[in-house]
Amino acid sequence: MNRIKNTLKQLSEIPIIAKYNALILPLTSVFICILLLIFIIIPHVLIITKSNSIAGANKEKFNSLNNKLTVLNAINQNEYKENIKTALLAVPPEKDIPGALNQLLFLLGNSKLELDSIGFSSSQDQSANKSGGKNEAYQIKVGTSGSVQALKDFILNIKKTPRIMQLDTLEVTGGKNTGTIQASMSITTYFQPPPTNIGDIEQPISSLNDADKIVLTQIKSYQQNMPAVASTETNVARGKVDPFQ
Amino acid sequence: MDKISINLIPIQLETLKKEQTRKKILNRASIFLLVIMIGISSLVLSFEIFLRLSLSKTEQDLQNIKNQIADLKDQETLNFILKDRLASVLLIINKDSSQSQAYNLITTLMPNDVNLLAFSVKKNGQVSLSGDTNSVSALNIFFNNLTDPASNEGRVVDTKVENLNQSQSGHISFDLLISLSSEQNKKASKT
Repeated sequence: MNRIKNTLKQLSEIPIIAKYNALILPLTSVFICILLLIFIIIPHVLIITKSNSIAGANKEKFNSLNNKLTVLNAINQNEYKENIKTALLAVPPEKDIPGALNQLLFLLGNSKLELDSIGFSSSQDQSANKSGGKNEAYQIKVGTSGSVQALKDFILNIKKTPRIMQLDTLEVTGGKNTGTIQASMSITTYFQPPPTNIGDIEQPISSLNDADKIVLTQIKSYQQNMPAVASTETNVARGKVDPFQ
Repeated sequence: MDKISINLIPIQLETLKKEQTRKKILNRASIFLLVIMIGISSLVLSFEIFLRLSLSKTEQDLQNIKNQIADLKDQETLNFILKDRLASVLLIINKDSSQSQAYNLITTLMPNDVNLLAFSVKKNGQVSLSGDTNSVSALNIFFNNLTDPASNEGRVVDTKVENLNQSQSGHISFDLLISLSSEQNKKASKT
C-alpha cells in the first residue's frame, strides 16, 4: 500500500502531471464513460431492440399456433371425413367420366329431353384456388332435342347437381312448327387431383366458415335429389401405361 | 462604533482553497457520472439477460406447441383437404356462366307467339338468334323487351337486327345479334 502511495506521490511530482492534476480524474471518467457507451450500452441496446422484436414475433406466432391448436382440437375426424366425401362429389380427384355421363343422362331424362349424341374432349381450362390447388376440366358435348321449357329446366338443373358442371357453349335450332328444338351444348366438368403438400406447420388454418357449410349443405341436398349417379369410386381396371411394354 | 475587520489571509491561500474546492466538485461530478454510466450499463446488461431468458422460454413454448400440433397431423390433413376442395368448389360456383344466363334471359323476354329457330351464345356473351312469328305485336313486345332495361335487367347492351323479312301472308322471320353484359360488368356499372 505504501509502495503504491509512494509511486503516486512520485508521479504527482512530475511537473506535467502536477500541472494537470485536477483534470486527470474527470478526463479518465469521461473516457471510461465513452468506452462504456460505445462498447456496452449502444451495442446492447441494439441487441435488446432486436430481441424485443423477435420476442414480439414469437408471441404472435405462439398466439397463431395456439389458435391453430384450438381449431385442430375441435375437429371431429369422422365429421370431416364425411364432409370430404361430400366435397369430393362436387370436384372429384379424378376425371370420373362415367360418373359425369351418368349424371348428365339422369338430368336429361329428368328434364324430358331426348339425347341425340354425347361425347367428351379434354379442356385446357385450369384455375388455381386460394391454396394453389388447380382445377382441371374436360368438356362433355351433348346433342339433345325437346321443348324450350325442357331445355330451360335442364339448364336450371345443371346448376343443381352434386358434381359441378357448367354450360360452356349452347347452340339451339328450332323445328318450325313442331315446337321441338335441337340443342348442342358443351358442358365443362371439373376435377382436381388431391393435394400432395399440406404446407408448413406454422401456416395458419381456419375452420369451416358459413360459406363452406352452405356449399356442403347444397351438395348434400343435390346428392339426395340424384342418388347413386355420381361415383367417386376409382377402383376400376386401368390400362397399361405403356402398351408396348 | 463599527468594528473594523481586516482579512489577513494571503490571497494565494484563498485562491488555492477555491481551486481545491473546484477540484473536489469536479472529482465528485466525474465519479457521479461514472457511477451513473456503470449503473446504466449494468441495467442494460441485466435487461438483456432477462430478455434472453424470456426469449428462450418463449422458444421452448413454441417448440412445445409445434410438437402438439404435429401430434394432430391427421386433423390438419383432413382440414386442409376439405378447405382446399371447398375453395375449388367455390371458385367454380362463382364463375359466371353467361351461356345459361343468356338462354334463360332471352327465352324469358321472348313472347309465346315468337318461335325460336336458332340460338347460339359465344363465350363473350354475344347471342345470335333466329326466330319467326305470325304476330307483329308479339314481335313488337319482344323488341321492346330487348330495348327496355327494366325488362331485360339491364343485361342487353346492344341489339342488331341482321335480317327481318315479312311475307305476303304476314309471316315474319328475323335474325338478331344481341350483345349481353356479363354479371360482373353489371355489378361494376351499378357501383
